[in-house]
Amino acid sequence: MDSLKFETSKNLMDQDVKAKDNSILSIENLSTGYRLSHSRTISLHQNLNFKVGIGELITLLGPNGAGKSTLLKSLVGIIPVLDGDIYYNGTNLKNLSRKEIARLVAVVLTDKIDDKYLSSYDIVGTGRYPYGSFTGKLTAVENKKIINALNVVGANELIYRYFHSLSDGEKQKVLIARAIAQDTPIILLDEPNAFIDSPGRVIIMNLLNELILKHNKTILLTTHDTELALRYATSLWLLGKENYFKVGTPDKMAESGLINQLFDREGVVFNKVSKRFETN
Amino acid sequence: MNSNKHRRLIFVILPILIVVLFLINLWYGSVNISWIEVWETLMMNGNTSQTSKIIILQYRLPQAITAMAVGIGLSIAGLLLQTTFSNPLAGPSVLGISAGASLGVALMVLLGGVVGVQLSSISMILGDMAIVLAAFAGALAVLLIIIFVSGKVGNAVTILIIGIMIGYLVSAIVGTLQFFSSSEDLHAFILWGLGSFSKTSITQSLMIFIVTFVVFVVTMVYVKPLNALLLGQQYAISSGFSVRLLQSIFILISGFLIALGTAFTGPIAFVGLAVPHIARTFLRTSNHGVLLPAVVLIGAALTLGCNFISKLPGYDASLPINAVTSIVGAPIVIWVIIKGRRMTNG
Amino acid sequence: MMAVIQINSCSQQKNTLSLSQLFDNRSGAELVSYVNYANGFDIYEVDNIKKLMIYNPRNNDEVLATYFFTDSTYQNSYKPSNDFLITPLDSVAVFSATQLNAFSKLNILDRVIAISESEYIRNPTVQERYESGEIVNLAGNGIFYLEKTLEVNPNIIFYSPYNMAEKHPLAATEITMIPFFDFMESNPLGRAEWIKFTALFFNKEAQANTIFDTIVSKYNKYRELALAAESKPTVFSDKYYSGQWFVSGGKSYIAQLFHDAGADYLWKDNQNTGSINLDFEVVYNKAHNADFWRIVGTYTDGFSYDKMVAENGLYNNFKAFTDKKVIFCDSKESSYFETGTLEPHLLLADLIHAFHPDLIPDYNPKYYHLYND
Repeated sequence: MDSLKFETSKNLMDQDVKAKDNSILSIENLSTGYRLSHSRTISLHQNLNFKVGIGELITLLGPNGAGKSTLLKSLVGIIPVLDGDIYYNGTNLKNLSRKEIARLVAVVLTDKIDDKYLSSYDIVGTGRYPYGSFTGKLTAVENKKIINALNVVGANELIYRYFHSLSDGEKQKVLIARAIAQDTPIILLDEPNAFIDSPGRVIIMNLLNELILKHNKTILLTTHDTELALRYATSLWLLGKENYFKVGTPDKMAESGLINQLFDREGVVFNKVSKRFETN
Repeated sequence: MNSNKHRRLIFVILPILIVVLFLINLWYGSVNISWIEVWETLMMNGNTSQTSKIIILQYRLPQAITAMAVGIGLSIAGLLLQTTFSNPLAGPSVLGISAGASLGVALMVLLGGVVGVQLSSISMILGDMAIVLAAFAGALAVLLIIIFVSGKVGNAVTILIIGIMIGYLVSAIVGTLQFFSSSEDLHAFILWGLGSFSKTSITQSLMIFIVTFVVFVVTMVYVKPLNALLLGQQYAISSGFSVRLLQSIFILISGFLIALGTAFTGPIAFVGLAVPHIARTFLRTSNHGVLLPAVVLIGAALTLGCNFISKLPGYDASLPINAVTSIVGAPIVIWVIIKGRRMTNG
Repeated sequence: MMAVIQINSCSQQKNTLSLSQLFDNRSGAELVSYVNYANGFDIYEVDNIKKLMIYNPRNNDEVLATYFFTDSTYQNSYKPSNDFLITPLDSVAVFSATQLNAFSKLNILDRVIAISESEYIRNPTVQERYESGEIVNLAGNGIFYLEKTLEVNPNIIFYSPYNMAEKHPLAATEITMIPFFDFMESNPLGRAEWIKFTALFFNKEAQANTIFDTIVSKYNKYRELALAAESKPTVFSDKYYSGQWFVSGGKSYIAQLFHDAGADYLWKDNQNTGSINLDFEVVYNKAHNADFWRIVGTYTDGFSYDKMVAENGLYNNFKAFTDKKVIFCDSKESSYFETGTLEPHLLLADLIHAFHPDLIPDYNPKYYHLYND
């Protein structure tokens, strides 16, 4: 692949996607990566700037190892940022307690959950943990929210089944239900389609759309499934190695040739018209 | 739901079982004392002989109370460690804390001979407390190292490995001390290592029990973060918990419970490892709101049962506790795991 | 240095008999052992040749080793063999502290050129010679120094194994190693009689006999006195530690002393020669009303009841404790483990003085003291 020219994200900000002034999430000069020791850091992206509006479905698209997961997790505070600031509704992440953050952002990750005795109900129940008493006892109201969340994802019959006995698709639904139960304006999903078959992916994406339209959520997800990303995203963020970061609408991104730049390989090319990868 | 009924049953049966085992431990011993006499002694009825009173109130009673307290403490510690480290093999021995207590005692008992001082003489000044303090000091020293490490290193597996390595290191030091000691000191140290519930006075045993119980109540405050940890550190953080801080807290609580037990009874094998598994498999839940009380009950019942078994042979001496807990504990864990596998695979 | 093995192939041997044949040809009546109390060895004498038989301490029917002794006068009369020792030996290694004590009493400490675990030796002469380098330490921390042993090359190494089945680390030196089993005797006089064993190697039998006969006569005098006493107080022994109480068996060394001192040892009916492991309950049940309590141990700055009860509050429930009838021997102060073996009459007198003070009122105890105040 040709080496990519470094361009700031501002240059490519599409006029159609105007950042709202009261953006729900905004990043300033963010640098993501890992601090291994006092002196050694691995820097993935530097000086990122963007604003996320309410009701957006933002897809972070990029090849493996680009730093999508790191960026996502940095937004929640799971991975510490190297530099810069993150604002939720105007408040700096650093000034929010973990609990406050938990009431703003819920996540769905790729982490394997090994426990044999957790039921779907238990899993979704942890979504209610930022609220309620410390004893963990779930009131009737809480109980309702849990059942409700499972309803939304269409997983009612899974309520009392052991989580680890579910299929990957079912597990994903339950984890999304958990995020829903957490009652947050924002939901972040890391590779939600990773182990799901094609029809399953469509179901998940439709579900996410529903969450935005009917439940007022704002969603960010990471994926390396270009076609799905182009179909559903309101805004596409292209991430690549060596600090590559570009933002735009799916159409603009497809036309711009950036997807080719990022993804084209020997013998396989992204077709801007059909918006698919095809052999050369 | 089925398991709810199951649960209720267990929470009713276990307390009864504990009371029964407790009373059996008071009644049965190398010296024959009739059940009536035990009862009357407990009721503070003046009719019983002095000998019976001393044996029951100053020997068997503290023994039973200590057994329960340590059973409870180690079980809670085991559960906390297994959750904190996402590792079913975690137990009190795994963090090297038990080994640390052994080191403390070894230094007290064995080092003296090596350096040319009869250290048993120090224990003569401080009495039994010398050994207790030494065990505490050793356990807490290791504990502090582990906590320091866990603060710097978030990764649970890393902390676990460091803990295991510390355990090995400490055991090696103890082995070296043993090698250089006189046979009397060695004998004394080995005896300590066999574990015994009979080394506490009635006051000490009550103190241990109350402290353990208080710690249990405190631990119940952490049910939510413990449950959240079952999903993994990252999910736990996203649920609003400061995972590194909590890790340190759980290690501290476990370490304290382990130090408390080990200091007064010597190292007790298996209980901390086995009881959480038994609880999980029988109650078929991982919810700490249920598991914590469950391990308390199961732990108390197990150690009371083992104490009784250790008195069984009918010789005038009892079996060392560690032998009993291992012989009883290992098959239980194996059975429990097999049973659990069959159920979840079906 | 005199060789142990008589390699002299002198052809003018008067007698072609082997040494064992010399003894086998005698009838039982002619062969009376010089050893009367100890079970671990026997000494016979025929025609100026002495025969030493060492028995397995756990099974006295089994002979572990046999040695023959004579002084240089008769050495040419018999076929040489490995077990034929010419006395007196020149230089030996002695690993047993009690045996060193015997050397001291027999005035032959100058024959000792090597010991083991020097940190435990208390004999001042030995310490002096060790410091000056005349005595060498051949073992420390359980390790035996093979090369040093070869360098020093004693005629004989006397050692005290717990387990005869295991090969001793120094066996590789091929220096004759002779076991010394005094500690396995439970008879107090039997244990002391091992002074004869040591004497045999150095032509000191006469002196040993005198010493031992004195011990026996004094012991028996005390014993007679005590057995005639009117009362027989009850006594028990040892302390509770870490959940176990190791109580001396009914046939043990101390049990015999108790008996001979006119006391009733509460476990006298037990058949064990060593210690038995008992529950606190059992000991308490049996001994809480005992008149006396005998303990061997050590405390910094001496014994006190406060120090003892600090170890275990349960001791307060024993009458012997609350009545202040503890008979305590400070093993360090009194060198009990080194010198006590050869003074059983004093051990006995100490105990009698505690049990029946009116019998020997002017006696000053050496090892066991009754802490009555």
